[in-house]
Amino acid sequence: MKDGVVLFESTNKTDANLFLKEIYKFLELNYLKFFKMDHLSKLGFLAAEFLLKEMPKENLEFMNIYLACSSSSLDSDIEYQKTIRDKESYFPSPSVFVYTLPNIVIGEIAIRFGIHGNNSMFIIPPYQKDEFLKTPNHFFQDTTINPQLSGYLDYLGDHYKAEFILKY
Amino acid sequence: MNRLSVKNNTINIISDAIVNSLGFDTDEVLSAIMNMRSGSKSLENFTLSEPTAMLSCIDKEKFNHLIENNHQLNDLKSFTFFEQLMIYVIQNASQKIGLDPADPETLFVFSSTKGNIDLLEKQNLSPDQFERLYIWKSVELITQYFKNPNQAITISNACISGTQAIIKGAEILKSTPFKHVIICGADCISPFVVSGFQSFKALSPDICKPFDLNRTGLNIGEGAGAVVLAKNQEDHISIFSGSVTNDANHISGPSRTGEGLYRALMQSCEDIPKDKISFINAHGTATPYNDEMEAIAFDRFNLAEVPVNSFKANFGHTLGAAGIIETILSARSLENEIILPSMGFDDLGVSIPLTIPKTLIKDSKPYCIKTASGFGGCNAALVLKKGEIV
Repeated sequence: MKDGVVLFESTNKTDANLFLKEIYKFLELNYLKFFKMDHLSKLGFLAAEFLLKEMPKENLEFMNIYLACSSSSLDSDIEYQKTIRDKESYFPSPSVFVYTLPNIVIGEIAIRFGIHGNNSMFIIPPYQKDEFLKTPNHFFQDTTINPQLSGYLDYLGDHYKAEFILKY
Repeated sequence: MNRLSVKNNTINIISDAIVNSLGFDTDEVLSAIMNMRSGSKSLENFTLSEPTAMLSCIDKEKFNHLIENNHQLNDLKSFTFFEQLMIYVIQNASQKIGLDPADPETLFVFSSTKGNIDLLEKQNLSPDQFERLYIWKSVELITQYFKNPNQAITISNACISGTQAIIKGAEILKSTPFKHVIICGADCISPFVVSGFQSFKALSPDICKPFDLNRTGLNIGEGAGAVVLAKNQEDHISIFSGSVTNDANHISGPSRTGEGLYRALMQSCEDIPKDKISFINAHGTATPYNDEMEAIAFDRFNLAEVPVNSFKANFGHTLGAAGIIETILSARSLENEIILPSMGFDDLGVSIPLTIPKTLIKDSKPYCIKTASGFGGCNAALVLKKGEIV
């Protein structure tokens, strides 16, 4: 949904990963790195794609990105923990471990669009979401004239959500 | 660009506290670094990945003894080790200046990368235990413990979290009526984190050697740090400026050109005369790529002649606490007019001829720079300035 208008609706109601793939196709993306990402990064990457795909390059370089989540990277943490649980099935991998940080999604968005500005991932309780999305707030003050991507995203198990706001 | 030192409204560090492998207070840690001591030890069978791991652990027995016998602290048995560390440093830093953390004009800012991640090792977590995996839950409980009425802010931006939390805290203090901001960061050693860095082949089997020719990787450490910021306390070290950027290059490798760090330096150090900078306290993890990237970024900004040190050989990489602990030690260096030695360094191992101090140096220049870089391509630079007008 963008500016209150539904852009894409899926008939699949249960499989979150499939839903993300459907959006990828809907956006006609050709970005192989997408398939290496964890769920949180895929979710944030697609939300950013909706807002930034038509933005001119000069508006992107100094853009600030301020995101918040509640479950941090717990979805990937649980996946990684499975790889170190016992001797028989021990296979810790750097490509899984790197996603056990919640700010990697910001890195993925920055790489995709060449964004070098200020960036931060805040961890907030779910009940603080609306306060975070409301500006001005303590989390990020709009002191610069730079374009700004802010938003809330969360992904854990079957529960996921992304609400992004673009200001420029 | 965040120039924070505005006339009649400077932001100053008025108190601090540290717990790490070298001790339980800032003075103890500072003196250990002056004496080139390391808290890292080789531990066997910590993970299934490698037989030994060089880790910089807190003396838990001593820590438990300290919190049980501290009459300022209530019973902390219901808190995890990670949360106890945060409570301990907040209490310690507040007590030194007689600040009540319950004061409604005080705001908490927290930084951590992994919080209570060690809880994941337990099978069949109860819903209450599972909730403690959320960093915001720990923060909520700590804030309630101190009876602080304000909604705390928590940053989890990989290895720049601590440095960034100080920049954020200073920004908030400058633009709001809050009188004090307490910034607290902590992270603990767990097989989760150690096995992950082992999978990257990023760990050194010995005490790490930042910027050295024979550096092979980092040491993981654990720790907590807290600083109290206030306005217009000019006889204390001030947070002069700070900036955060992104490489937009790679999620787990630093930029070859040091792009993000160069931009962070450019934005925060633009107006500072280079001959007034005493030292740069680098991220200096002792991985081949990180140290080389930093050297390139410093050189691009014409800072190659400024002495560079790293404390990673002393107490390891303390992740979400690193930026706070290392900023405290940098502030203390400015105050004492010294440049601390960069332990582990023998022969230059980066492509730029940096000056890395092997022994303690006397120096009274008024500025220093703290830098940090992390996974996700994030970089931070923070400039501290000595109190008196120079």
